[in-house]
Amino acid sequence: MNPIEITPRTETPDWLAWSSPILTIVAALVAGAAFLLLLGHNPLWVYQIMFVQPFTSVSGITNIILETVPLLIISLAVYFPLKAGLWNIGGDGQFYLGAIAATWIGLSWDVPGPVLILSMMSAGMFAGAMWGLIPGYLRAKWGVNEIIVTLLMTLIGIQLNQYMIQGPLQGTGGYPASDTLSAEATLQTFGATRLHLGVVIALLLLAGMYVLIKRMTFGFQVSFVGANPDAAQQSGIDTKKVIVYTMVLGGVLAGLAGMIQLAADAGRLQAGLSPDYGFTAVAIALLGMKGPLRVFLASLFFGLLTAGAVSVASTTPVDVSIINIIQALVILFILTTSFVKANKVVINKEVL
Amino acid sequence: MVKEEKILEMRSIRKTFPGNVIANDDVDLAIAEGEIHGLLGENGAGKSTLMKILYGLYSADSGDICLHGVPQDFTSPRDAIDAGIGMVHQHFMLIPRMSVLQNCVLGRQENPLESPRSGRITDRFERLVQNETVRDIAGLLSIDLANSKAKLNAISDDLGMDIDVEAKVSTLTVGEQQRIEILKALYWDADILVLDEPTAVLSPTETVQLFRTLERLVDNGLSIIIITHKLNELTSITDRISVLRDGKMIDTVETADISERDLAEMMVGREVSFDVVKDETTSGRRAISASSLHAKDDHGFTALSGVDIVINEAEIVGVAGVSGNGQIELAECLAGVREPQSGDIIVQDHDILKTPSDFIEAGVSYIPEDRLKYGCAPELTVMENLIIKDRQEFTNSRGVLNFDEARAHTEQMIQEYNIRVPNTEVSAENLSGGNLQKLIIAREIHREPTALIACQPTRGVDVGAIEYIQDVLLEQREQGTGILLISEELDEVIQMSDRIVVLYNGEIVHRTSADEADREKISRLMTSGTAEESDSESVGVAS
Repeated sequence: MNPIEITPRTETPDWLAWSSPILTIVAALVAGAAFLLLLGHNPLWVYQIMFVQPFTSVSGITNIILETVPLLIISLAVYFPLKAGLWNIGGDGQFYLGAIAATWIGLSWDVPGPVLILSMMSAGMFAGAMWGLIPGYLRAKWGVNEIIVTLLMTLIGIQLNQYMIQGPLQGTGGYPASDTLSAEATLQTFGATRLHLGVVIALLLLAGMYVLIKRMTFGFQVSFVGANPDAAQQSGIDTKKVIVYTMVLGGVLAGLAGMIQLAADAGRLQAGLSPDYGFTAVAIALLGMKGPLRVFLASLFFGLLTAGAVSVASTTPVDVSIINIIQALVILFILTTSFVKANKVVINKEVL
Repeated sequence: MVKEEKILEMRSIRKTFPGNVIANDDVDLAIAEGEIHGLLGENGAGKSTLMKILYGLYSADSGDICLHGVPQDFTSPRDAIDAGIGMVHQHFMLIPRMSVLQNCVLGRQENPLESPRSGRITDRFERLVQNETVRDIAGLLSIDLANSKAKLNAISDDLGMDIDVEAKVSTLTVGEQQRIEILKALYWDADILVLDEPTAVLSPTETVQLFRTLERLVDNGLSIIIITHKLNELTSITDRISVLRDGKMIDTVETADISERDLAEMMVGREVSFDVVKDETTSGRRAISASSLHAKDDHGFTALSGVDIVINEAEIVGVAGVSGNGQIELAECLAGVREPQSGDIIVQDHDILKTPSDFIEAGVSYIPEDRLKYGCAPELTVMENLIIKDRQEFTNSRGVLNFDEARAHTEQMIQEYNIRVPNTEVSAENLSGGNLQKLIIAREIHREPTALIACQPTRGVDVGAIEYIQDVLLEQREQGTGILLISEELDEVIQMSDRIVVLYNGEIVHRTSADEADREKISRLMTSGTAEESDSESVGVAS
């Protein structure tokens, strides 16, 4: 007998399918604890500050929500093409394009507030759409790998942003940043809280994505293309159209996220507007493959990780890069769980 | 020929899979030395599981395997191979861009230290050479294949196979590749050879050659197990047959004492009709036609060079041919999923047909050869796969899919077409071959198509499902659908069709009505393209 016996499962048990995201996270935290111990920190103490402390204050909870908003929207921008089998890892590029377009409108147009905000949103979505259209079209027309194109276009997007804040959109004062947006061009907050319109928009987009994927025929076609593009094509689905549409919609969402971050959070175009949201979103979309609600929960978790990182950084000497390690561990463990889901692993104790 | 000594005994083999699926329910199997033993059963009866246990791919929950009376404990194929079991899988495990020799010696090189060239060996060196570790290392480091080549040539000569062991596998035909698989097993010193559906990919001539090879092998003392669900082949080649049904061993019988009809009954558990009853129909106007159709295959080689074909309403046109002579391309062009280089396809009144959806709207249904690759999305549910072509029917004006209606429709289809599934939400990949094929047929036929392009509709499904599928096709013919039936089973083509065409090398080389069809002549046309007697007797492999 082998000490470890692996046989393919014919079906995944319910409890495993249900609990695997949670088990994934728990396993990542356990592994992360090893790194914390190596660095000489008490993992329980660090995890307490990271995961419990943010919930103990209104400000902490607000931080979680505000960190979740851009992550959720960009994750939907990755999730939707992923349903069609396409990897949009260029969320960041689309995000920056959205932010650049929104800044340009926000600084140069002189129209009443609501109109200005709507114009900025439209501009952001349009610019993001263009950045999604190019890889989508190349993929549909010539089969060019969208992973490479979206990745490279992200680099272009980031450099374009650098150029803008040191060139055409550079503000007064000589900093590499644009001028600060006027109050009219900023997203309103609700009452005395720091919560802004972006929170509502993110939830509406989530609901919209749910309906699109789970209820609409177009969403069904997207899922079918993702599951088997050849069979989809033979069933009369225009797969090229699906590829272009999903990538464009991904770009629209990421561009809108760029506009929201700009108009609600940063207030001006600057470098580092996205702390690699686009790449974190890939992990979130993977965790949430089963449906938009899973994407929401995973975004919330990564929002918590980010908010927790801030509270760790501000109250302890622990290096924030540990958060990156934990995020990486989560991704690694996702791969492990999909293996465990597909295969039954039995450890024969007598042999060991 | 058959000696009474049992070379292999499998006793009370039990294997369950999660979800309480009992694949093998205390199965006993005994193989005598030098016999050809048939293992018969429907898909899902447990044949493959039993053989995977024998080959060390699965471990049984309980039960014993004895070789020459010695209990064995296989935990991997390596153990089984070392014990003398060879397996020829249905899908060949060959590396196309490597030579025959390289494929055979992969993992089993003859030790280069025993090369006859190393003549001046001192005693100390001799001891060193005998050292296990040194031999292993030498085997890993050396690419000297001279010894291996000599052994391989000896085996192939012994079998009367004329094989160029330096030929690349990718240049060989399917039949030749299969012989390489057998050769590989023999090179690995197999005493027992297991063949999984060996004739599924072969032309009739190649099948005859294979059987001749197998007979020669048993004369040399090899024991052979053949897994199949083709009854006629079993009765012609085997000494004994074991029948599995629902994971249980029904019986082991002497081939000489049993009829095909009894075997089918044992396998299915009820009486099976072999006779295709074709009612008279009057074929009407043309359903679909193609003229001077030229097309290329996936690799850019010419697959069809000027095919003209007409399929009228209420008739079945059968296409006979050995796989790879343009059948798939013909089917794909007619179904609208492959763009021809030139030529016209007309479906009744529709003549401007470009995309697959144009063809679907014109009333063309398509049963693709590869169910899992083109027929369905395996990870999606039964319902999603059933409604994919009718999605617009269940969609309201706002683009929302009505899942309740879709589910009701799915349930109705499951009933009507007797698809055995636990519920509508189970993934299509969990269905057996026969049930998945029924699902695809239900989807394609309930649309009441003008034309149906059926590519190998009964391939790889069990006897019961074959009967059912053939009935459904004939019924559809009576309803007025024009059907193109592509099959590598010549008997099926002759039984089912009204007219028959033979496709060879991308051209139709023969047309006949089914009544006047001459089986021998068609068989020759399939393999050589001419009706002349050809030299199909040689057992030659690549030269």
